Amino acid sequence: MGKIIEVIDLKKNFKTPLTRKIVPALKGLSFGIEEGSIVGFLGANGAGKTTTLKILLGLIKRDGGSFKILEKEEIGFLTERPYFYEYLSGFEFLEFCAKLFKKEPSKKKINDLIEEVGLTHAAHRPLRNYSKGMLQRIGLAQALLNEPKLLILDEPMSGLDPDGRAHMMDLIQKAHTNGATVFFSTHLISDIETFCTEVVIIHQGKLVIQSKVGELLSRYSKGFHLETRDGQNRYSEMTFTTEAELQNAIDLARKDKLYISKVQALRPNLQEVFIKMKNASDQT
Amino acid sequence: MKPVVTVAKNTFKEIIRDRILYALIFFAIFLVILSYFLGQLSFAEQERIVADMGLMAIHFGCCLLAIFLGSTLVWKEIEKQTVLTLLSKPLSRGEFLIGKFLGLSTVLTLMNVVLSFILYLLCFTFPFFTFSNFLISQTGVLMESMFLLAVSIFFGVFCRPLLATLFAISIWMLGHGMNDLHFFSQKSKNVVFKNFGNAFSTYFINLERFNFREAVIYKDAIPAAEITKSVTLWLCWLAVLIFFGQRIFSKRDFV
Repeated sequence: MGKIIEVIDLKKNFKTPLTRKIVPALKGLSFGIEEGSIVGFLGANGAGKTTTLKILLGLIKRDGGSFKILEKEEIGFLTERPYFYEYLSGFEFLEFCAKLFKKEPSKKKINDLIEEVGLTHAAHRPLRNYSKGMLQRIGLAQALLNEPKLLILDEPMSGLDPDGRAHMMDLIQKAHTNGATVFFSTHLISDIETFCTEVVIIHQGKLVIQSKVGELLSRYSKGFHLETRDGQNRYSEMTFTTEAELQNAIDLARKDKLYISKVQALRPNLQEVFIKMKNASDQT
Repeated sequence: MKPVVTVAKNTFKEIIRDRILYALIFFAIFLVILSYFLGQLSFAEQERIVADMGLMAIHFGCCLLAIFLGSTLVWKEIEKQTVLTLLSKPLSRGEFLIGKFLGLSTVLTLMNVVLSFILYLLCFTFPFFTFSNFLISQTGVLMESMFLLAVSIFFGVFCRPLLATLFAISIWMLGHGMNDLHFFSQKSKNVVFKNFGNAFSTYFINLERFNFREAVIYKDAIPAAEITKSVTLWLCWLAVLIFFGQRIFSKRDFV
């Protein structure tokens, strides 16, 4: 499978309103997204996540670098704060969005999507009466209208309660199962640990790392934990830094006829990895 | 073309729900009806006063609507970030802007037709009143309000609504002062002012070109050449304003 997004040396500067002082937002960002993956775009507030997504969608002009992405006809996008036309109902809003596509989605498709996001009961209610969670769901529905090959979501879980988050995750997973490549920005590490295959971490407008989530966690492994018991039920536990040391210890335990009760890889969570990498990036 | 029509329809729906529209419509209707009563206060030419005031009320209503709604039209989309969702779809910035313009133009047309119908009911029995002149006059009002709409959208693309409104009102006033500027600059002995006035009144839009109210009131004939010239000029100005508005809009970052 090829790359569905390719970003090379992307640069963007903003100017402060009065003094016109240049504030660099992206300082030569490069990364690529494989087709069929679910990729989390992780960074602290102000790291440049939203700026990158907006450049990819043509909402902000870049100052340097290049990128490749699909046509808009094949992309679905959900903004960070989904403000839509308050006077339209959920159904009218989706109908309006559908008419913007060359291949216009049918009314049946709109109704199916409304049902899928669980808003059938509110489909004909004005959007001004929707809760934050409902707006987020109707926002996702508009992003899925054209059955996109690429789904770009900007902080899709922010401001949602646990139920809302779980529902949103289900919907995103479903879109992925139906063939969409998902690229979403977040500053919530738990979201990425839960359902991403890959992560792109940026800090102060620069790429820190792009890696498979599992590989990244292994790379920052804290070692291995081994627990054994002997015939008299005496319990002992040891920690090793390398896999070879662990293997030796297991071999010895077997030789001594010890019962191995637990072997555990001591992996950091993504939060710890992120903080380590961010600090390392700050130092360089 | 389909996305433009879609945006235009949505803009129409949006404005139809706007309270400013109804405030201005009621204000204009009030003035039209008031003109009827004010006309009665005059010793002579009562009917001409009614017609003149009525035409002026419609002119003011349509132009103010174009300026006030036009200057907030794009700004609201940016401020509420609805533009992000729209422009991430297969819709170009130019199509978006033209759609917005057409949507509000439809509202202006509707308002013009409704108000003109009310005035027509008040005036159609007057001896000097001819339907053809009335139609041309109201088309002139519509053209002027659409021009002001294009001006306010143009400024609204890069200014805050208050500034856009002020700029549009300034152009409205300047546009109606072109005949006077031309007249006084020709009379002036100051060469600089004479040349400036001449150049400015030649190249800046003269909104008096769209004013056919006197033809309605005095039953004057309106030369076809005059109408053709006004329409051509109007089309050119609209094209220029929308083109440059779109150029500026396409360079904007939606942060």
